Amino acid sequence: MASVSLDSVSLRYPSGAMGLADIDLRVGDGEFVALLGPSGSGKTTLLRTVAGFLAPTAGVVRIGPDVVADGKTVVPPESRGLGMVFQQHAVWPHWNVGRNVEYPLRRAGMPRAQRAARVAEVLDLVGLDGYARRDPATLSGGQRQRVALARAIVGEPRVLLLDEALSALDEPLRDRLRIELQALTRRMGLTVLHVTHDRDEALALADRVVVLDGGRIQQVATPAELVERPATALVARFVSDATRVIGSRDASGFAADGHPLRLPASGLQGAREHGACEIAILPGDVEIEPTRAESGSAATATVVSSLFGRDGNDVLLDWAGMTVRCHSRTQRPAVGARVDVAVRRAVAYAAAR
Amino acid sequence: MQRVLTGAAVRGRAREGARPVRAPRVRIDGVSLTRALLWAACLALVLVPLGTILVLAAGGNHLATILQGDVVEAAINSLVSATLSAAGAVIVGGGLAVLLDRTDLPGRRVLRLFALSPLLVPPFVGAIAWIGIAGPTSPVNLWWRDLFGAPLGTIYGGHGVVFLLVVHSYPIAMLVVSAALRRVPADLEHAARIGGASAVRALGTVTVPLLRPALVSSFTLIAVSNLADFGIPSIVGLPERYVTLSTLVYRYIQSGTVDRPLEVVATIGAVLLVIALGALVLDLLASRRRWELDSSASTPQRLPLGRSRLLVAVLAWAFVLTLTLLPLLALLSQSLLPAPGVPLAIENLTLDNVVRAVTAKGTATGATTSVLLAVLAGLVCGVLGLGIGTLVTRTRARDNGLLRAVAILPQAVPGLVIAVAWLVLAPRIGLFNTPWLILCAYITSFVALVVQAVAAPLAATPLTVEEAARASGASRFRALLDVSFRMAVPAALSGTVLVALTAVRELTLSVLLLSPGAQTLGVTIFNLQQAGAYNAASALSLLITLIGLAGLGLAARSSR
Amino acid sequence: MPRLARTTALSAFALSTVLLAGCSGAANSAPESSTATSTEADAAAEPATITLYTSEPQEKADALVAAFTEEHPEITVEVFRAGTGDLTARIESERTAGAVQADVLLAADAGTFEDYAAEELLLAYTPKDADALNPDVVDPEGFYTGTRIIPTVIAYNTAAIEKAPTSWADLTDAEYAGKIVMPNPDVSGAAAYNSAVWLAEPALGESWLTDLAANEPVIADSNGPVSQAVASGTQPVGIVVDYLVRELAAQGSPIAVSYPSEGVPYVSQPAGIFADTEEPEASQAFVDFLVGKAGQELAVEQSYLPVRSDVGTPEGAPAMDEITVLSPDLEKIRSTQDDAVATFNSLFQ
Repeated sequence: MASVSLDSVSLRYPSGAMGLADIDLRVGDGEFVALLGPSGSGKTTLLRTVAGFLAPTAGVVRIGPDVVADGKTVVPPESRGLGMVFQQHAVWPHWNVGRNVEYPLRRAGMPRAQRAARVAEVLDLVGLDGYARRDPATLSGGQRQRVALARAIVGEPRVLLLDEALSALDEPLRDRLRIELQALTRRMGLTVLHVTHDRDEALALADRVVVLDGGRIQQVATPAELVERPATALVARFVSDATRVIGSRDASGFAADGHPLRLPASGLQGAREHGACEIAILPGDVEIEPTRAESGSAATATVVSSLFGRDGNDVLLDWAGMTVRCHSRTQRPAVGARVDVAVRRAVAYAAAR
Repeated sequence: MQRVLTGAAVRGRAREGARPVRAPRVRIDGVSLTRALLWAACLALVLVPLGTILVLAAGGNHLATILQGDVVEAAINSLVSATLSAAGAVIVGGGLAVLLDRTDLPGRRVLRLFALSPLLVPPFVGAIAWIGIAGPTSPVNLWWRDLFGAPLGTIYGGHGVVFLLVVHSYPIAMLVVSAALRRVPADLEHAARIGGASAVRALGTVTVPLLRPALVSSFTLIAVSNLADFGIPSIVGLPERYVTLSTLVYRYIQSGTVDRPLEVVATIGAVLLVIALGALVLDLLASRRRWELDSSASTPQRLPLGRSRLLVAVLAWAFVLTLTLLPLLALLSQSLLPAPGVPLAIENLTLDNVVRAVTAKGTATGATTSVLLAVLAGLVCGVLGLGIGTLVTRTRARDNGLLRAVAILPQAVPGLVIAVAWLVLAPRIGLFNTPWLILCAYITSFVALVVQAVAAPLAATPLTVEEAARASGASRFRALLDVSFRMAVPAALSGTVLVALTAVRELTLSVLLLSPGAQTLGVTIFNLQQAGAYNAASALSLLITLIGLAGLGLAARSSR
Repeated sequence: MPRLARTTALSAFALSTVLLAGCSGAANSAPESSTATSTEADAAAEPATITLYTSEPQEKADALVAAFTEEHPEITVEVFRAGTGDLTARIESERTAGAVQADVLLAADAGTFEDYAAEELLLAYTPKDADALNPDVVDPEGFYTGTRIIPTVIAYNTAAIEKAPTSWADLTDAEYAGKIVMPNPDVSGAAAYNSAVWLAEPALGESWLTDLAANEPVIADSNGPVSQAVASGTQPVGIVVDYLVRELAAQGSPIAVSYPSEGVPYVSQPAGIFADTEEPEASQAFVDFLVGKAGQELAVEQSYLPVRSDVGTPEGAPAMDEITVLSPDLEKIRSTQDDAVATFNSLFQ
């Protein structure tokens, strides 16, 4: 196993657009790191840069002690000692399961007898014991993804790259594979880079999560930190569906621009500078109750949607023209109902430049 | 980004845009060596003969000669007949492929064999058979004339040329589209059904549009090769003065009305090259937007035809048998009668012509030579086409478009012109009067068949299959060998069969390039015909067709 | 392409050329060894191999060569058979590449030979007993000699036509409208020649051709398809060379020939020797055989009208002196032939 490090890595497309901008990242030996971000954020670009399918235009990529890309020379993917699983499994249709899984061992020049044993062992590990002679066409989607996983880990890669590896699977299967994946990677001590757009998956699996947007790293943190202390309002919104509000701050507290929302200084965390600022309100910090005011007050909002959840209901509010997300353990108002809103606390950030 | 779409069409361009230019690299690996080798083969087998045509054409400025007179009209006729016949062939071939591969049509395996049979009949023989069926004094026309005073219509003229070109080229479209059809995941159709589309509408609005790359590439292939067809326009076009560029080429060579016929003919060849180049540019533009399909191997469901099953079956069988069995029956009746004009009656039937065809001096040697050359041409074209078709679809390089164009261009040049080019080259490369010269010419003319057959299905396979191999430790070359080539092999094999079938009965190239005393099957048939042994010629054509059909049937069974 | 790739490509081409040349060398050596064995068989005469380019049908060419070899076992004749157009293309290509590879050409019409003679491609040779030959077929300058009289005649389907047309003029009768088939002068050299002869013949000329065009004949590409169309009844009347009709009739087709009273144009399937030949004696022996008594008897056997009077005529054909032939001045016909084809094309649009 090996660490991965990226120093000031940038990738500029021929069109001039930045795929990656100044990425600094260290993934420790045996660490499970998830790359999270909206579409076009650069998470796949980052993964493919580590894989070697893309070459950075600047910066240094290291796997273990080896420099694999430095803006001039590029070590090709096959020489990087990696394993990779793709969203669409990419199991080769012209070979049976065993031959698919065995392929990296053949490339590594392992003798036949050892290969067969190793393939059997890995197939057992992913729950496909005895499937070696099966034609991939006869497998279910989940089984094919297990074949792809077996193929990726069979050669004991230095780093395992997962490119939306679970995204194409249905929910219960995805859930089960998540558990198996975690158990497997921990047991093998694998260093894992996992690209996903599924926030729960990233938070559930990773030791640390890297949030990307516009080709830049927004935050690198443990799942708990990410939820509790998002580094920017944008991260808060992406990770936790926080509501972002622009306004200004003075000694008394926060006042939203063009909106009745006011927060006392005691309810504000984060940046303390006075002047223009932005706050992020986590859904759990918004409290609602059925309105008592007859004609409505400044704190009255309309329920846009109201979704049931195991550990609380997700309620979307229209509050004087602003859409606010609320996570309520107690209330599940009907759509169209009027509710009174109270914001318990918010995190303030210096206004975006 | 594009990965968010699951099982849906992804625009190929978007993916391409996501690739930065690599850091400057001059990597000499297996892939670049393969590319260099393929270029070398194209140089020797395509560019040198095409260059010879251009050099011959440049020998004197004959543009003025050919611009006046009939060339413009012939060029228009060529363009129109090639375009219309390619469109017709794609419609017929594509429709049959969908019917045979995606519905529960009764008897589809046998019907497929029948539908492929025009591939095996030399076009000039097919044309003669069709004149018997739809010529001015064919039974149908005579009967019609008795009833209404004038014949129903004859096959002579432009419409007949287009019709026969369609008949002889739709099997190519059928093969290419069939291969692509098997790659369209059934889910996509199911999604349309859920969306409220009927089974037929789902097929028409989802599957068929997804076949576009295959439809476009078979259209280009057929249009370009029909530009060069000689047998059909000469037999059914000339009687109505319907002249195409390829029949005009013969006129210039034969009539001695121009001073330097070779140069004029080469100029016409150059004109055809330009037309074909235009077609390829259009093809490139049309195939810019392409799809990646999941490599999901869910077996497609056959569309139940339901209540209309019987009706569709009757129509499809009647249609295919009319196009294929009718001319075969015409050939059969000619084979069993001693001479043309002898009435068809039991007491007149004889096997003399079959015996004469089989025992003719040329038949045995012709069959040996043809089979040998066809197999070799099939293999060489198979390997080259596999390499070129795979490389241009599975790797990125600036010369991909050019490489593909170079491989396809010779299709557009009439056999006579290609043969002349090789004849001029022959003494310089020491191949004069050897069968290898014919082999070279076959490869020049037919490599396009495999390139197109390989490129069409590969273009729709996601690139992750190679990336998975790279991530598994395979070099670029190794990934190409283990994954891309392996996945292209079935398409290359069907392309190889196509080349062998075309070559085994080839006429225009062989007739000019044979060494004294040698024979090929096409030439043997032609010689019998020229010797007035029309019925023996029919018998030999029929035999070749039947043996070919049997071979196809065996191949189809063993591949199942 | 980067330089390295280009060099690689060039050397690969060079390599493939060498390899292919190696194969051809092996293939070439075979005929030489067979020549060697024939030397032992007949040590008296000088062994030689000549190459014949001909448009004779394969079976006839084979029979011809077999008969010749019986007389001259020391000479091997290699035959390249193709249609006149393909022969012309091959000869032109060979000239472009270097030299004509054939020794003897037996094909086409006198015009083609006149062209080759003018370009000094032919060896002057007058066959041994030229005096016994029909003087019309012997080139006064000696570059070629006609070997068969191949007249263009009227053929008709005996099942469909009750009263056979007996003259060219008959064909303009409205009763034959839509029933006539004839070869394309753009494709068939003989047909082009015929057009010029018809136009030059005072009794026929452009007015006859115009009337013929009014009957809307089908223009097939060459003589073969014409005879086939007549035999099968597709078009029951055809303008076609006579021997094809006799052969079909012999096979049982309901077809017969009629020699028009105005006279028949004919071509003579000349033979000539290429100047580049390395075997002039053997080539000359072959031409001598073609027009000699044995060769002409074989021609008659093969349904051709002969060029000498001492071998009879084929079964079913009239005697030579019963046939009126049109032998206009060749120079004049050649000078008008292009215009004649143009006239034909404009009339038969």
